[in-house]
Amino acid sequence: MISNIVNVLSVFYTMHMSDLLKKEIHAFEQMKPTLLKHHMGKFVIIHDEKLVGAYDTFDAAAKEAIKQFGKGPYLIREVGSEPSKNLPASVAYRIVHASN
Amino acid sequence: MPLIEAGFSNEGKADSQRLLHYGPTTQVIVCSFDIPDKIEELKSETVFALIDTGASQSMIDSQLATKLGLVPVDKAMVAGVGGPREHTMYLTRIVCLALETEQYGKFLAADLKDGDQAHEVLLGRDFLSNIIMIYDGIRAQVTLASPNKTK
Repeated sequence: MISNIVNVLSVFYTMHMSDLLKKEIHAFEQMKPTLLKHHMGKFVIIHDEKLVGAYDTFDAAAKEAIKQFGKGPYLIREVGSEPSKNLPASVAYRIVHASN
Repeated sequence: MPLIEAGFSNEGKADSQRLLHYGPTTQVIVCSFDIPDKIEELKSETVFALIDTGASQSMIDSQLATKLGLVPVDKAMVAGVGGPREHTMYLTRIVCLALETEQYGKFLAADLKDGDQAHEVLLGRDFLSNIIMIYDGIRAQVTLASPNKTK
């Protein structure tokens, strides 16, 4: 019973954090022209829809974000880098059920 | 150098069927990016990881991310057979004690457990970039070594 309540609460918490993160991403997109002009190649932190800072490495940005905002959420993204990502073939094509 | 077997054995003999079914597997520890001053406060989980040469980047399970209270720091579109889908990325540390290696940064979370995957972590080619892996399908043996470490 208690574990079910914890599970439901954690789902709501995850959804809430996800919504807040979407706002940070939206703010990043709004700032993008300025960021590309002044912080190309840097790792930026966006929190509360504001630019917190630009850092040379992901490590430096992550440490600063944790120090200032703890569990977040906040966005950490490299300016000018949006690599494409592919779901691994092992996950995408694994047979879940097959009849004989 | 640290060296481990990532295959399967049954009573001392290599188990080719399980290697075929599960793929090369090892155990890793997943925890938060930041290590607290009091190590007993660190939330971590030891889970099975698939060595996945088909993945460009390592991934973690979504439920595991929630359970460990990992910090979400980005979202990314990921292309799969069902079309593109948005996934959350979490600040994470993945440690392979046996190989004395760790990866840390932001990792994509995928619904591995919900999809009945046996593994909660996929170790992609970013993990393999510092590792030697020998996959001997005939003998059903997989060997991993991290040559940059001395032991």
